[in-house]
Amino acid sequence: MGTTDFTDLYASSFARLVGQVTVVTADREAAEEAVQEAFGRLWTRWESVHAYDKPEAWVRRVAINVAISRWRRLRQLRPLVETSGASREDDAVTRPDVQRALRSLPVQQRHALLLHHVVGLSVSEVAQEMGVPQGTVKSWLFRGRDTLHRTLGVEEAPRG
Amino acid sequence: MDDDPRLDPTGRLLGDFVRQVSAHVVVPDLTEGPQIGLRRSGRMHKRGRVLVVASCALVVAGAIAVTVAYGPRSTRVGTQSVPATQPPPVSTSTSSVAGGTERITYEPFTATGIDPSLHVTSRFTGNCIRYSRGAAARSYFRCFASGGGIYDPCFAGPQSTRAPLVCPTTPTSSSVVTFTVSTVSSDGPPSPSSIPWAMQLSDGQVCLFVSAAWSGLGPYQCGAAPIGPSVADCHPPDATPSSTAACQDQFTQTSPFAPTDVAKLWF
Repeated sequence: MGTTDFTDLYASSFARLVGQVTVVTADREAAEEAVQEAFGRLWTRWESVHAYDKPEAWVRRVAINVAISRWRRLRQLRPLVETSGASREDDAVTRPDVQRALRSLPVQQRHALLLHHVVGLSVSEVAQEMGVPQGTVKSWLFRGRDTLHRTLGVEEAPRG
Repeated sequence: MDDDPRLDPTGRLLGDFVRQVSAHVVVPDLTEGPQIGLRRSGRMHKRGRVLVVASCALVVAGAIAVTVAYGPRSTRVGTQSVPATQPPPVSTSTSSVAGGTERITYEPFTATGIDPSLHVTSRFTGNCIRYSRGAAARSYFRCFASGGGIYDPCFAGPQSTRAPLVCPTTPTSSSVVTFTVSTVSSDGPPSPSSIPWAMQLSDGQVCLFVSAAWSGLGPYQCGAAPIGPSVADCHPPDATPSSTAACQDQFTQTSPFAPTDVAKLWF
């Protein structure tokens, strides 16, 4: 079943994926749980998924879906609690200001920012990944960047 | 935009954030226990346990329920053993026999609703994730009850998720729970391979797909056998007409796997 390849992928990408999914969850613990669940699902589908060009991208996608699904569930269960990221700050995050700023963004904007600015997907690829029109992605990216920069005092780069 | 978006101020900011978070992540050791799929592991990592405690508890105490409760493909809490003495209701399945292994499509619905031969023991409400597997792209659901508890697999009838889903306890029992879906999401791309959610070994044991991938063991958790020797867990069955699965007697790394004949597969 290719357990060696699976193990290699797991070892080499787990921490990175947790970091990336944390951009969406704004909560490291939730990201770890989602990535673990995604790898659990990968293990059961390894026979087919390992042949994909980028199995890590599959894991990231599933982990984000899991995280968002749980967030929606939590939001239903605890509507008065801010659940788009835990209210506390993670001990291990050395930029709590970034974590707080991410939490102020809608989840879709975080997701788009992750895929475009961290993973490096083009706008059209992000649109395909998220299943929305390119214009929507551009809007999310613009608003997400604007909020992040204003919150953190980052100077906006000129954009063509 | 011509430049790499990872190199602009937003990309640098988020990239640094990702690297900082990643640097603090303790990667669970795959060789130490059933870490993948066990939920709430993050808290355990934080305490430096890396789920080894959960693993040991599971192995030593036989806490199958832990795996079943928190595993990503778990069926439900409390399935300590799976009785295999009760034949499946005929009306809830269609089957074919190929080379000695019966392949059964679990069908808990009739044209008018839930099969009347089934006994609904509990009713739950919550959110579900839809999976599509196999050439027929049949949909399965993994459902999270509002009050806690995971039900997997659940099956939809003619009205899809507009009507309550049926979640079997085991394939050999007529007892089921129903699940009213609040929201449903999809689980990525459909998997082309069809994975049975349960199988019955030739000695009568029923094994459920719980997928707590613990270092090469599982992902099928087996219950008590009415006759003959029992096994603890099995790898997925092979695809030959007369299926066999590699099973082991104990949940340990050193317990050898041996080919075991599979009598029935449920899809």
